[in-house]
Amino acid sequence: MTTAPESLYFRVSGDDPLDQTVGRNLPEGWKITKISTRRERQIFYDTFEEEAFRKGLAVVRRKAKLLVIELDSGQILTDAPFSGSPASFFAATLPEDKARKLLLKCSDLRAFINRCTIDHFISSWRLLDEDDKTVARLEYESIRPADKKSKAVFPRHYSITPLKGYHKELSQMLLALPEPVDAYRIVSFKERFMTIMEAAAPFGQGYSAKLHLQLDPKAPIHENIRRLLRFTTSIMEINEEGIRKDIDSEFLHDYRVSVRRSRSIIKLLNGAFEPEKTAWALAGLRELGKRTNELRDSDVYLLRRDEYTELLPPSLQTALNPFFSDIEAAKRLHHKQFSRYLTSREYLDFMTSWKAFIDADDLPDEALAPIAGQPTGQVAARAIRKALKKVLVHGRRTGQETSDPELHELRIDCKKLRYLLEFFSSLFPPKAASQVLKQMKALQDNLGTFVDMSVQMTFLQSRLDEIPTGRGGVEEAAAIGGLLTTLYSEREKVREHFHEIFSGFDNEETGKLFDELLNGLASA
Amino acid sequence: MKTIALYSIKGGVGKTAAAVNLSFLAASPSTPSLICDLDPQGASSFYFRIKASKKYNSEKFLKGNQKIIRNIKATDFDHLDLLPSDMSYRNLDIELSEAKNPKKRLAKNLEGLEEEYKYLFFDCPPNLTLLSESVFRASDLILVPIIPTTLSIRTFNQLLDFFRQSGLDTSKIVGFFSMEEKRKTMHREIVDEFREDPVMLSQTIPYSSDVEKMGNFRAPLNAIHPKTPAAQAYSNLWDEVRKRVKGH
Repeated sequence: MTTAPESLYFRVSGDDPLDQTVGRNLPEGWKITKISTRRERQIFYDTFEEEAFRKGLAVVRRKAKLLVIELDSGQILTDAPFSGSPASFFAATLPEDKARKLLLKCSDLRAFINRCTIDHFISSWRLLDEDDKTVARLEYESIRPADKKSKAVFPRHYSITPLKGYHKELSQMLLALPEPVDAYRIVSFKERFMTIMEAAAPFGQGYSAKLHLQLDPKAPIHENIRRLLRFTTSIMEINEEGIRKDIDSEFLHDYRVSVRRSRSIIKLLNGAFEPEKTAWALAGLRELGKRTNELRDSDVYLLRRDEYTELLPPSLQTALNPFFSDIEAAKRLHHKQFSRYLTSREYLDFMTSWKAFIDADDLPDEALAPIAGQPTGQVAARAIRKALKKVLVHGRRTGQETSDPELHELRIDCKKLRYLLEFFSSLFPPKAASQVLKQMKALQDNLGTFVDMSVQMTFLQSRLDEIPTGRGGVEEAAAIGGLLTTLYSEREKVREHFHEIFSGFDNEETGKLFDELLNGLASA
Repeated sequence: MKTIALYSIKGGVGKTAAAVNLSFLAASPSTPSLICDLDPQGASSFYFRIKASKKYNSEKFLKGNQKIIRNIKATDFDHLDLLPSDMSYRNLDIELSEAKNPKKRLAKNLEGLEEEYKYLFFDCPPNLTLLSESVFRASDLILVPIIPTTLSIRTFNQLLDFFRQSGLDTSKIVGFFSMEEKRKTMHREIVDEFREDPVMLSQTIPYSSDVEKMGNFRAPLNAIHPKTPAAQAYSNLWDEVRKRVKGH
């Protein structure tokens, strides 16, 4: 796509050649002549969650340059040299410039994926007046998918760009263009972009791993849990390809969150299914969690590479290279293993049975699944109250020394409460759920940071125990020692803050907020 | 922005041909250029096939700035625009004399072009008038085509004298030999005589039917036949001019 903002773009729906459609509407003595035809390959990039698009940007590779274009105006915000045509890339790998900055703002975690590749055939024409003076340039664009197998059909456009000082002459000509309007309609850059995206292969499709279920409070809980599980399962499936292709770490992350969410809800709302069936399902989900733990760990440490490096004095920064290359190697191994597992008979069988389990809509036997038929609102109020009580009891019981196990356990309690609130959020008055979640945020952040740091310290400690002496081992040990020291002091600060933050949560205001929320539910 | 005036008291010395070809050579993505046709005969406008819009006239030119910018037209060549002249320009002198501060008028009117153009060329009418003086003050370099004849050299000296008398900066004036015919002894001798003179550029423009034919194909010679000897000469001349104007 060309992007001169002063150009007028028209969408062509007929099959008539340009010299006829435009040619027959020219003023006396004017003519159009062809200058050249060229092909331009363009690759459109965006993240899986279309974060560039959501920020109103198009990311296009054209002529060995990466363009970032503002969709509304068609203005090229920046063009940076960009060699190759990778299937995906990270904003952080771009050279320090405006393009990098803009794309990092869209996403620093997700990769920009080749969304679609097109061949753009552009024939250029001149519009000449009676003196053979060029008054405008015309470009006729037809687009074909670069993939010959693709059946995508793209709309064709032509653009008219008046030369400076010739707008008046041209506007008369444009006014003379014939109806029907749909054959000659001025289209914006954004519109042209959208038609290409629509014609391209499906992608992301408004993907979001966030839960937005509209629940009926009177419907049996059994039905609503199955709705949740259908959603989490779809998220798992959507992310499988991205995991196998190792595009970015978010595919696995979203996949794991879905697994955890499914498992957690089944366990928290125990009694909605027959125990025999859930035991099997929970074991399967647990297995998926276990099988991805190490891969996720590798991802997390690789994402922390810059952060770790910056924590160290320059003299020790390169000493972490062996540490990271070992993690990279481990990641390759775990990725291979899990990718293989995703296509294995075992996994496919599990998913088939799992989906059959979710789809079974008969209410189970009341004796085996006592809450299955209960109204969702009632179950929700009970479950949330119980989970909240657990958080409060465990939090209050946490002693002055705030031990590691206490904080670990409390973190899990909070997460459970959070999953319940998210699941049932549509049952609450609008914004009430997000208000409660906000109330919980400081506490969750505190606990999350604490546990995160503890996990990192354990990991680094185990590395330290294994470092071979000699060949840079001393430097690496020093670097890891440095990291441990920093993490330790940071973590202890977090620990010191716990009681203060917990009392910020465990107060009258929170109690009232939850009461309002849950009383409303019970009376519904 | 550097301003270069193609000027000569005499007519028919290759002023417009030089203005058209040099401006074409000057225009590039990093140095967008404007040629400003000041001659009511409109020869450079003609070469670029551009007519002023019907409402444009000398009055608007003298109003300056926005009125000028609105009437600039793109040539068929990238990064080169033209401000066409109009027959009404024949009265520019009279109108200028009635204006306030006529000698500085032009420089003031062209403020605002600075943002858009790196080179501005004036194609001046052949005479020595108030308009010429206004051009002299507005220009960084006054480029004078001279046919290598005694009479032309005399006229050139008259110009230098005029500058001195009027307290103008003579260092702005640079001549170059135009329509040189090597077979003519007088041409050869005069070109030789000025070979070392810094007031004269070393590149000469040969007399050439290719240049005359520009009137037929109505485009810069360097755009249509860049390999011809005359086109090559313009190209070398531009290299010299560019270096000179940089010093100013």
